[in-house]
Amino acid sequence: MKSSVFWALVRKDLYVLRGFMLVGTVVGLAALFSMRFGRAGFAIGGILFLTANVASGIFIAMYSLLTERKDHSRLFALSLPISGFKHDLAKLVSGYLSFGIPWTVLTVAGLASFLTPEAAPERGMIIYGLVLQMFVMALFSFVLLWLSIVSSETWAGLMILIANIGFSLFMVTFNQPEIVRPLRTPEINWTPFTVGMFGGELVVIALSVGLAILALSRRRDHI
Amino acid sequence: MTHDPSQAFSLRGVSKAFRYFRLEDLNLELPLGQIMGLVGPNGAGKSTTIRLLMGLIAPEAGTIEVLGHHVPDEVAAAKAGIAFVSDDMRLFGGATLAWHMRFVASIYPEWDESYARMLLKHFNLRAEQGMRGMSRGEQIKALLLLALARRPRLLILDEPTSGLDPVARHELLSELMQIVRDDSRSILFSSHNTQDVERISDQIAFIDRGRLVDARDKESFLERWRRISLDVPAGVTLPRFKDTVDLTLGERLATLTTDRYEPALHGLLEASGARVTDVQRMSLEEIFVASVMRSRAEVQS
Amino acid sequence: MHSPFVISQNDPRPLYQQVKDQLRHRVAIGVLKPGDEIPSIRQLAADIRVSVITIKRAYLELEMEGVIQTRQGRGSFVSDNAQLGDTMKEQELEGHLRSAVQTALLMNLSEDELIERLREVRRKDPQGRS
Repeated sequence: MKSSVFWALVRKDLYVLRGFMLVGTVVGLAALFSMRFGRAGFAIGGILFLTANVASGIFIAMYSLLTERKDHSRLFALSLPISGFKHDLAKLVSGYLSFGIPWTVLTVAGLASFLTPEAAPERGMIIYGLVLQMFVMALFSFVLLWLSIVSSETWAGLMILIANIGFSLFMVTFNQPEIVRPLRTPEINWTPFTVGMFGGELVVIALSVGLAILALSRRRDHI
Repeated sequence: MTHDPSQAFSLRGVSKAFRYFRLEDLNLELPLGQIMGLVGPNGAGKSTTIRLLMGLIAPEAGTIEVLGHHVPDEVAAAKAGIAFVSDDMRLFGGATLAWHMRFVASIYPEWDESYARMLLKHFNLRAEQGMRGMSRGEQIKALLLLALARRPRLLILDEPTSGLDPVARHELLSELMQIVRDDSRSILFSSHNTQDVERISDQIAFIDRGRLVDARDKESFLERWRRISLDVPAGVTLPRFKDTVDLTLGERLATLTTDRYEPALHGLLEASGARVTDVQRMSLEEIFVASVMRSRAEVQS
Repeated sequence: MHSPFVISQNDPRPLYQQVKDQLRHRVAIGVLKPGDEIPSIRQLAADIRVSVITIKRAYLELEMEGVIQTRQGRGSFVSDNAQLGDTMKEQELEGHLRSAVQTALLMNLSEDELIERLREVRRKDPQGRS
């Protein structure tokens, strides 16, 4: 009985967020596609791809955790036969799924585009794509961890700001010529920077998930 | 840890502190098959008590048991038998009432579809309507429908009639009273509507400023409290009774409010020279106000 | 019992008293006959939307007064006493007469004045309908 309430809540959230998920995926795929069309297409497509990724992630995190509080449906959800911890865990799971599914689609599509014959001269840039996508996932994990701990909209707004700054800093750093040039090769090479960055991102994701679950398990008051 | 499945719920020595409010050493219980009305001013602790029963907040001291399960340890098992509706509760905004009915039916095996359809008519609701398009009153009725159609063993209502029109209130009371046909099903409801509480409750509890002021069965409340009108001639002093809740003295007339009325009181009063001109029963509302006033005076002294 | 009870919170009598009075009245006028089954406590509570504890009290007192009998597991019935209807009528009349005496006292009417008033009422309204 308890696990079916858990998954019923997860399904409900995915149903509510299906619009975001669909739009994010479609826009992201369209952006990827338009990157084939010359320098302008590449630039615009690139920006659009990143925006679709990051923005949909932030929206999803904010929406699922905060609107429930705003439209008081949290009280109804907590009246169901499920512990407060499991309820919050279901929110975390649906958050990861509603972001993770489009993210997986876009990551696979993006990485696959580096494996096409046209991309052969710069196949090494697949590492760039991987590190970039993993950064977006790490950012999302960090935001979800934050939202599991704080409960006001002010803190959440601060979170968006920090996420934006973090992402901009990353892009500036990652796009420096010394970082990018070693990747623009036909071979796939892991540079020290990319190894460190990738490792760091995995650690952030693991820590964020772990700490979020820990924070939720320690909550005694759920309302 | 004793599980007593013969009780709908019990709170023993429960305390909970917030920044500006504390619930102190609360002891309250309800046998199965009975209705308890919880009465108290705003901010008294009714909602806090209910949230403690639902395991939504954890007590700092004391034990809580609901339907034989320890809360919050076994809160999920307890909630399988509880339906909870609060006046500040809302359903999921992006869905329809029909969606919610399917959702609730999939979670609780006791869902009664034909009863739900009947309630739709009685509450004048349309299943296809979206939550966002519903007025406050309609949302509350929708929540009540979802709670009632589950045929819960314990129904907990926090201010269920605030926001309901008189017709809906009448329907709700009828449905609540249908529940008592089953002597294993119980109801706890908090309400400002003391008339309704007076009519349908078996047990009544008064809460004020985080303390349980008084709790007993309704008939006891109504039998113990009286307002006695006295004619007090000059030179007569009324004897002091410890069961006097209030004594108002005018020029010649006095009104004595007591919570331990018995006919022998007449003899005692008249022995002092006063004459009893009238003995009035008190409404639950009057009893409540008098109780709270006394409780507050006691706390201050 | 097909005729519905009328219970009002605006009535000065307490709820349990109203339930008792209405049951007694039904017996007095013969709607309920000795041995007839009456609704269970919970059933009546649900029908007239009054708390179970109140119905319990009414039934308990009626049982002590010999008006009804409750058999464990079988339900509640009007007492098997053939004279019950008459007894009820007696008690109703007694009750009315006492109220009349009490009110007359408050109005400072003498016994003769009270009797005259009773005759007047019978003259004007032989059926006692209004």
